[in-house]
Amino acid sequence: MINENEYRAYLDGMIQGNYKRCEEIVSDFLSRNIEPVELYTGLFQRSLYQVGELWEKNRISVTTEHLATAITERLLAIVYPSILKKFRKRGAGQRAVISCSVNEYHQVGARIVADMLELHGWDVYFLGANTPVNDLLLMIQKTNPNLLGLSLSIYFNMVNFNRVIQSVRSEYSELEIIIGGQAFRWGGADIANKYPRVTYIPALSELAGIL
Amino acid sequence: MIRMGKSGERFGIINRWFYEIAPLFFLHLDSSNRVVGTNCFTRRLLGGDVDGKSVEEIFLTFGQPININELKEHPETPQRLNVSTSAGLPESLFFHFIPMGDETLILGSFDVDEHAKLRRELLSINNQLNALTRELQKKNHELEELNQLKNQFLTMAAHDLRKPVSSILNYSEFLIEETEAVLTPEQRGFLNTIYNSTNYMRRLIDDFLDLGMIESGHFDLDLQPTSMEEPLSRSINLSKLNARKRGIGIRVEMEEAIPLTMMDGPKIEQVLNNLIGNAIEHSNSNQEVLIRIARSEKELVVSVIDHGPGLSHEETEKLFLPYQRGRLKKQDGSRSTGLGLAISKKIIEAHGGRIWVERDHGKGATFTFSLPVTGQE
Repeated sequence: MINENEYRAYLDGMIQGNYKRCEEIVSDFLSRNIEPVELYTGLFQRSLYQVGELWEKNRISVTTEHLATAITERLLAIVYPSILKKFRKRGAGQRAVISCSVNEYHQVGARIVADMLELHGWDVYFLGANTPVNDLLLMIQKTNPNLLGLSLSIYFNMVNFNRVIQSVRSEYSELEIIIGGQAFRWGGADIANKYPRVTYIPALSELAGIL
Repeated sequence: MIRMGKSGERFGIINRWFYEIAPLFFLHLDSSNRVVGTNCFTRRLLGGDVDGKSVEEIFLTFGQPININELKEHPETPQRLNVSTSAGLPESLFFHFIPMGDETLILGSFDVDEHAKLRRELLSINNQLNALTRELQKKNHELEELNQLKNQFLTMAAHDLRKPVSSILNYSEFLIEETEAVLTPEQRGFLNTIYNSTNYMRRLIDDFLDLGMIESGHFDLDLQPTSMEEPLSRSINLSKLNARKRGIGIRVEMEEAIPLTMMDGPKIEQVLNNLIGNAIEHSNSNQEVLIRIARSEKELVVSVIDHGPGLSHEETEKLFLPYQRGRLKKQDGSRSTGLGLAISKKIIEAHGGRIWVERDHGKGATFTFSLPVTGQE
C-alpha cells in the first residue's frame, strides 16, 4: 500500500521537478512488490490530477505542469516492464487502438489507459499525442481493433475531438469507442450520447468494468 | 532615467513600474549610440549593468555593423535581432528603434509565436520519445519471450540427444580399448575421430542443458560453508592428467587462513574446471598454470593465470557471452563449445560474486572470480 506520507513526498518531488527523488520512491515501491495497478491509480493518476488542479488554480506554472508530466512518463517506463512480464501472456486476442486527437499534446492519460488494457491482456496500439485523423483512420484500417480509446485533457480541444469521433464513426460504424480524460470535468461528456457505441469512462477504476 | 520632463504622480507610478517590473527590453542610447539607461528586466536578461556599452557589444552582430539611423527611420517596424543572455544562450527578440532627437530608445519583446512553436516542438519530441520507448520495451519483451522459447526448445532437444550420444561415446571408447590388436592404424584413426567428435557433442549438450537451466530460472544453489581447497583439489586432480600429457605444470599459491565460504561446491568446481581447462588448453608445453587464492576485505578471490598467447581487446569484451569462441585456437587443436565462460559467469553471479579477465596480449591471460565473504561462514 502507498501511504499518504509517501504520496506527499512523491507529489512534492514532482512539483519541484525532482526526477531522482520520484524515481527513488517508485523504485522503492517496485522493490516492495506494490502492484502496477496501484502505482498507476494511487500514485501516477492521482498526482497528475492534483498537478492539473494546481495549474488550473494558477498555483503552478504550465512549465511545472509539463515537467511533472514528463517525470511521470519517464517513471511509467520503469514500471511498464513489470506489466509486460506479469500480465501480457493472459491476452484474450482483443486489440485496441489508443490515441489522443489532433492538437492534444497531453498523452500521459492515454498512455495509462493503454498500459491498463495490456494489464488486462489486450494487444494495444498506442498512437500517443497529436495524432492526425488520417493517421488514426489508417491505423484502424491496418489493425482492425475491437476498441478505440480517445483521450482529451484540455477542454478547448473539444471541437477537434468531436471531429475525430465524427470521422471515425462515419468510416467505422461498428467500432466500439471509449472516451475519457481530464477535459470532461468541465463538460462535454454528453458527446457519448451523440454517437452510437461511444462510451464515456469517467475514471480509470471504471475501465476494468467494460473490458 | 528616461528624460520625459516633468510628470505627475500617475506618470511617476508608470515610470517606476516600467523600470522595475515590466518584462520589456529597454535601452536608452545617447547620441553616440552608447547605453545611458535601461530597466531591471533588461539588466537581468543581459546579465548585469550595460551602461556605457555600445550597441555592438549588446547585440550579436556577427561582424555586421548596426545602422541605428536607418533602423530609426522605421520605428513601427519590428526588427528581429539577437542578444546574448545571462543564461548563456542567444535570444531572438523583436526590437523597435525609436528616435528621440539625437538619442534613441530601443524597445524589445519576445517572439511569442516562436516560443509557442518551440514549446509545441519540445512536447512533441518528448511525446514521441516516450511512445517509442514504450514500443521498444514491448519489442524487447517479445524478444525475451522468443529467446526463452528458443532456450526451451534447445534444452528439450539437448535432453533428448544426450542419451544416444552418450551411448555412442561409451561404445566408441569401449571399441578403442578392446580392438587395439585387431584394427589397422587407419581404422583406429576412424574410431578416435568418432570418439573425439562424440565427446565434443556431449560437452556441447551438457553445456546447453546447463545454460538452459540457468536461463529458465531453474537454477538453485546448494550453498554450504566450504573451503575453496575442496573444489580446487578435485578440479586439479581432474585436469592433472591432461596437463601432464601436454607438459604443463599446475601450481597453487594460497594465502594462509583462507576462510570457509558459502558456496555450492560442485558448481564452483565446474567453474574451476572450465578456467583451469581453458588455461591448460591455451598454454604451450613447459609453461605453467598458476592458481592464486587470496582474501580481500569482503571477498575471496581466485585467479587462474596462464602464459599462453593471451587475448585481444575485442575477444575480452565478448568473452563471457554465450557462443563466443576465442579467435586463437586452443593449443591442442580441440574445439570449444563457446558456452563454458558464459555458464561460469552465471554460476559466479548467482553466488553474488564477480568474474573478469585481465589480458596481456601475447603474454597470457588471468581469469579471476570472487565470492563474497560474509563473516558468517
